[in-house]
Amino acid sequence: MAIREVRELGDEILTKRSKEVKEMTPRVKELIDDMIDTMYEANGVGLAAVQVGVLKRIVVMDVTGEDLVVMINPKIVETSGEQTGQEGCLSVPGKAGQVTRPNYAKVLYLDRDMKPAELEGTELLARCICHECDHLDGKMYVDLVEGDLVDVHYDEEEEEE
Amino acid sequence: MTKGEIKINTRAIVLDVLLAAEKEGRMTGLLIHDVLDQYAFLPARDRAFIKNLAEGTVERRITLDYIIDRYSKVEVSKMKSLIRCVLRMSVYQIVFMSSVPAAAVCNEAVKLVRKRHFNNLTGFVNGVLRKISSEKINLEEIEDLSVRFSMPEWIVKRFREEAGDERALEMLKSSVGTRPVYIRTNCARISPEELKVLLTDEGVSVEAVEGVSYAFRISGFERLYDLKSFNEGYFSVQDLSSMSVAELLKIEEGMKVLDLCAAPGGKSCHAAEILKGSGVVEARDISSGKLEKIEENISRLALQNLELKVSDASQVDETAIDSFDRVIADLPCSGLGVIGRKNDLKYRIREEDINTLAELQRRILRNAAKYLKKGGIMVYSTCTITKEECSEQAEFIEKELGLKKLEEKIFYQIPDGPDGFYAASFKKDL
Repeated sequence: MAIREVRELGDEILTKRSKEVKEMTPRVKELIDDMIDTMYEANGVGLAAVQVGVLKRIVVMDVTGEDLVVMINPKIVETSGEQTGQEGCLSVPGKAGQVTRPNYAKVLYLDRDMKPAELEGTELLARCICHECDHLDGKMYVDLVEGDLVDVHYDEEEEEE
Repeated sequence: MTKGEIKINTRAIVLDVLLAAEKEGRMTGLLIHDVLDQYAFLPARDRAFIKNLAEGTVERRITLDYIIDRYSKVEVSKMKSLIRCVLRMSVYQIVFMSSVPAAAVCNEAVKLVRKRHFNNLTGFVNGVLRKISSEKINLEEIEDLSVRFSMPEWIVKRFREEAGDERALEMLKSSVGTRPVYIRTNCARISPEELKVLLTDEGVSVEAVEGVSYAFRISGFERLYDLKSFNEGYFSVQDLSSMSVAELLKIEEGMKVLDLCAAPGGKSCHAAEILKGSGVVEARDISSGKLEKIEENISRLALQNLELKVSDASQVDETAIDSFDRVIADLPCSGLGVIGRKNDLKYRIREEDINTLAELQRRILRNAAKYLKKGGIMVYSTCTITKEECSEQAEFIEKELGLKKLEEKIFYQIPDGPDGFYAASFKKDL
């Protein structure tokens, strides 16, 4: 288990396009494991490889705490509807902003064994799919925010009580 | 990505507002307005808590500091800014917000202090707050009126001098807590009876006002901008006292009216409504920024006969001499009549400002009288109660400017009624 350093807004790597993963290697496996640890440790619901400084098209997500998904070379093939709500990003700590996203998204990808798979999501999952896939093309949610970014005062201690 | 639903600490937001007010010296009202805009996505309950706590803490600052000083070894004025703000907002919750349990207030305060890295002071904050919450604090027992109503001493003294002890107490009472909201029907568009029905249908409670047929007192709504009848331009918010200005003017259809310091435009719009599309109201103010506020109102109220002009009222405008039937001179003033609506005004205004303001008023009045046609009527008004800015100016207008006083209305603010206001009408005979 290893926690990797999360790159923050302003780091140029976040604006770059990530490259397709051609084969599963021990290094890629280790990267995926580290991404999962890093995401959980930071209380995130999704993380793209570029956020830990690796330009590979890999995303890990878990929007409920019980549904971990690892997506390699994900491609959104269908979206519909609209949702407007708050989202944040581990690369923009302490902030959140209002973003309009599709309310439904369908994505094709390769799983950890490089087998084709597909996933459909609505609401938070659809939002997360779109947010993470944007990262792979060098796009950040801050450019989509309607109005201002707001400061988020996380109430960490409240959760311990 | 991080989760959409974010836990937001409303007290931390209020703390940031209070700290910014101390550091930047910006008006708290504007800071609160901005922060509510920024957190527009929060549930109404949280937004109301932020607003009430921030406004209340500012409004009761003198009272809160007095209470804290009684229980703290360190004087409020000598504390670190962060500790001072946390204590003030916490004591406000303990004393004035009965729905918040005192134990929660102490815990939240300690958390805030720790999170802002003043770990060594958490014990101090906790100690002071526990002591205060274990006492029953009865405001009525505080004899010093300045402390009880959180009003600078010189203003308390002024209120008593200008209005007498009995009225002064009412004025002080009306300076804290919520003020009533009065509206003026846009009679050019709708009748008061029809408006009352519309508002009631929208869930607003509407009360008639004695003596003013087109005015109502409304309550039970969250934001004006949510009301269709407001967006349609069927009414404007205006204090009862301010409505007296257009009344005193005795406007007749087809007249040319000048409003010298018009922003935010309530009196200009009222005049334009009385003209029912005829004549013209020229609304002036010193900057285009100020006039923008009037522009919003013009389009909302759908007024055709209101024109805007950027102009400094203290400079003579030769082109306007002898050319208006009516002139509104509602001039910059100390604002002692509207303290209850502007929560930190009372701490900002200084007694020595009054003479400077009175001088500016006289300068503008000299010009205002010139713009009036022979036989025309001018109304001079201010939202204050000092003799320098009210009765003495009326004397000045009669003696120095040669106008004849027709009527005079003096409002002293009362808790369940209008703001403090002065308005007098004058006729130009020569």
